[in-house]
Amino acid sequence: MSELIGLYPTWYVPQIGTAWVMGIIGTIHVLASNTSVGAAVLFAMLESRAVRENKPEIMQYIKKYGMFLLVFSYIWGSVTGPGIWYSVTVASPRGISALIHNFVWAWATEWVFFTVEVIGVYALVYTIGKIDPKTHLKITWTFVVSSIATLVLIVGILSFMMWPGNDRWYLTGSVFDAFFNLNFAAQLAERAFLMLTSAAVVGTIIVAAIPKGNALRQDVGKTVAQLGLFGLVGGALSFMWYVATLPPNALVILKDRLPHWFGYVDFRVTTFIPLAITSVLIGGYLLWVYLKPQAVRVPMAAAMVVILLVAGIWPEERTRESLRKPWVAGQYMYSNQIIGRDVPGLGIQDEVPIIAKEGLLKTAAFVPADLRVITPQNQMAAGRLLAVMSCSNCHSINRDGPLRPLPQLLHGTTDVAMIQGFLAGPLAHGTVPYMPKIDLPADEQKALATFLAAVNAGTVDAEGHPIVRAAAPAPLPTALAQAAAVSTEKAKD
Amino acid sequence: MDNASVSAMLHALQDPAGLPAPAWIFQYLNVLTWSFHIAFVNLALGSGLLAIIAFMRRQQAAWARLSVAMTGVAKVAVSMAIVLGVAPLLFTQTIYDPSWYTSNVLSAFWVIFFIFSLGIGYTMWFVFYFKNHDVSHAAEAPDATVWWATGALSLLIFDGFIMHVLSYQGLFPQKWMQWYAPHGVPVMNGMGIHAFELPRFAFFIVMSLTMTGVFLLGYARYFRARDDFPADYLDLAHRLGVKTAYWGVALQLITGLLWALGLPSYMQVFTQPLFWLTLVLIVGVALYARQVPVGGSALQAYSAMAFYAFMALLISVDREALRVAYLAPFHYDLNSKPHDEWGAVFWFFATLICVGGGLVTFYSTLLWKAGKVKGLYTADRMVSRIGDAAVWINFTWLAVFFAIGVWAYVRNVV
Repeated sequence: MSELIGLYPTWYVPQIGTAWVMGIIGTIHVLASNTSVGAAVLFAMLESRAVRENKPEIMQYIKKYGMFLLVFSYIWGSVTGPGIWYSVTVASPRGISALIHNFVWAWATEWVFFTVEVIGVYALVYTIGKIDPKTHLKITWTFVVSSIATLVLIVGILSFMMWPGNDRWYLTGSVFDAFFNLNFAAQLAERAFLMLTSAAVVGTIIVAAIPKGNALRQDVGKTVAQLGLFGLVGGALSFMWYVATLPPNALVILKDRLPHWFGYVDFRVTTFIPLAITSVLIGGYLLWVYLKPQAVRVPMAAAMVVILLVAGIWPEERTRESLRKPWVAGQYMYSNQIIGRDVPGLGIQDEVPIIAKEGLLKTAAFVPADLRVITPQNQMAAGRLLAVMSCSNCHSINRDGPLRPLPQLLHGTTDVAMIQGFLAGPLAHGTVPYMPKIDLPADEQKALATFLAAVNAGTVDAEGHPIVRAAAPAPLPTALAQAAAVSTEKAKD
Repeated sequence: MDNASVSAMLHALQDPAGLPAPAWIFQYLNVLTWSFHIAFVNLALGSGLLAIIAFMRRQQAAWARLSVAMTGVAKVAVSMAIVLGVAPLLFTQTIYDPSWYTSNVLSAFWVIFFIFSLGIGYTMWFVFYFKNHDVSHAAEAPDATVWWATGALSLLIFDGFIMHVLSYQGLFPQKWMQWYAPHGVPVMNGMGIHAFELPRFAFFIVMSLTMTGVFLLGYARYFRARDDFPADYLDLAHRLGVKTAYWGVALQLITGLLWALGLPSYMQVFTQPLFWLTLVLIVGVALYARQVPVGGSALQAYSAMAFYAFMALLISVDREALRVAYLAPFHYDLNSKPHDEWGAVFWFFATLICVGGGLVTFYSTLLWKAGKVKGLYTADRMVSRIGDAAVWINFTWLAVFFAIGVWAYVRNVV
């Protein structure tokens, strides 16, 4: 048997693909966790003021927000946190494995703070008014620092996913070199600021729930809005810093993703525009809350949270995921989970040459014995397996799938030779900037091209099943056909 | 597949990055943290069940109070079970990556279902909590309220079943290919539940009664200090604790024996000292709980929980021993490619002991003392100092973290 490559079985989700499953769960988690960390900062600020200025009524707001947080962040945030992990496990097992094997100690350290945070939030919420204010303030400050610790620890891992930023990690394999990468500080700043905004927008729901005319509404409403606006400005500035720390391939994708009519404008400005519209909307809302805290209503505040989720966090997270392409971790593992470069510090070897020589079907661990060698009988099944293994992490294989559908990207061509030409050319040489280098032997290229051409032709579906069509009825003679027949007859004459 | 081929596959699947510490460290941490996790899973399910049973008898004041109390306990226990489950999940994925990932992908649909059903189940429990958290109004709650709790508990138990399946399937690498591609055709929808062992799953579920029983002994003892907790209520909690622990242990014995009988014969489980030691500890919990007198000493009451903790730890060891035995024919090498990162190991343990230990000591001491006082609790000198130390340790950790960051960053850039 050829040298085995540790590719896991594939989970295939028709239409939306596994990437969107991860994305949906991830976006919910980001809103919940961002709000939690930002709210912790807000609590510490407000409670310090409550103790300093002897304003115990402020604690009512913290208690209400804390209860809300327990349901909002500590049910769905807690569940979707490991939930991201689970979804990535089934969508990209080798990708998450790479991160875990590099960062197990960082993750374990985060777990310590995560545990402290969960105990802390219950202690914080349920002891308001039951223990003396100075001691309670210590709970709140330890809670906020622990929350921030969970943030800084996860950002080190997330930023490494983009790139280490220099060659040192490839040579040492050290977790510290991986963790404190070039992208780390900028991403940390961006997320930290936007967490304040997130907590502020969610916090306006609690402001709106305070009875109208209550002085607390005025007092806390202004503080919440100020914090949110501060976060928004800081977030916008640190976003520019973040873009400056991106690897060259990400900048190419950033430019490529833009509509053509944006082409003449500098990419930093143009990237800013879609998110800026949401930011202006959120900023305007927070400014309005600042000026008229008595006017805010729960439905409107809730609507702003939805806008933040759908028009802010979803596109931001999705863009970040896209920018990383073709890599999934540290610019050494491709998004299709094949290792694409050597990491001497960890003894990791580039797998692309092995696949180019032996083929994916011969080297991947989970390939049925009958498909290891391609024959005319199994060519379609082999092609489908290759498509799912190599492409489905980033592409819908269905003709109408929403995730960068392959048939559309191939312009619907049914020409096997043309598709094979693409596979043997740009793809095999790794010259498509956002695509992994997929260098397959000729028989595997042909099988893959045959399958894709058949999907485009509509003779097989994305599951590889033949589409049986009823025999087409003989076309009714049209005026044009009749005219053509007449002219043919005339020509014969 | 023959054993040699399975062995080759397992080693190919192991992450090429290797392990940043000797495997035994992860193995010990895995065993230890899993016992914490299962304790809170047990408490969540057991107290949840008790909350429902007590709710049905809520016309009697003591039962209504018990239902409210157990509803709150289950609410916090689910949170703790989730957060404490992260650690063994992390360590399992570090040393048993081939088993965990393959099993998950083969049942991917259920993995995703787990996330949403856990969220929905937990939300339903919160709904029940909001309808059943005030002792003075507990008896007035409509009967239909209990459906929120029943639905929640059912989902949580099913989630436990999914976790059981994922762990269990990982023990049979020789069957993975057959499950993935029956008749040579890959089935990639992740809809399959390929293997489970009901006695094993049931064993961990009924252990919830044991845990909740010993918890009730501690609960009844703790609130003796409060004059707003009626003695008859605390007596009921104590009696119920002993009874629940009895039932738990009896059912653990039955399910445990069925589980042992179903194990592969080559393991010769009945000749293993570990098996008999576990049996002794399980029975020991019931015997120990029995001799704790109503209103007895704190040491007696709380040490029943310690007894459970020992049992849970030993069962965690059993679980690991079984995994080793299942994978032994394939010569699975945990430690195939170590590259020790002692700096990071130190970083973790220093955080765990100093920061985690410091903060949890602060919270638990404070909550323990405050809970014994009706009304406002003012921290004594000791708690106040622990609090100051906790804040100080926490900020110091953050400062050290950024100092390491600056050092690493400058070193890499220069």
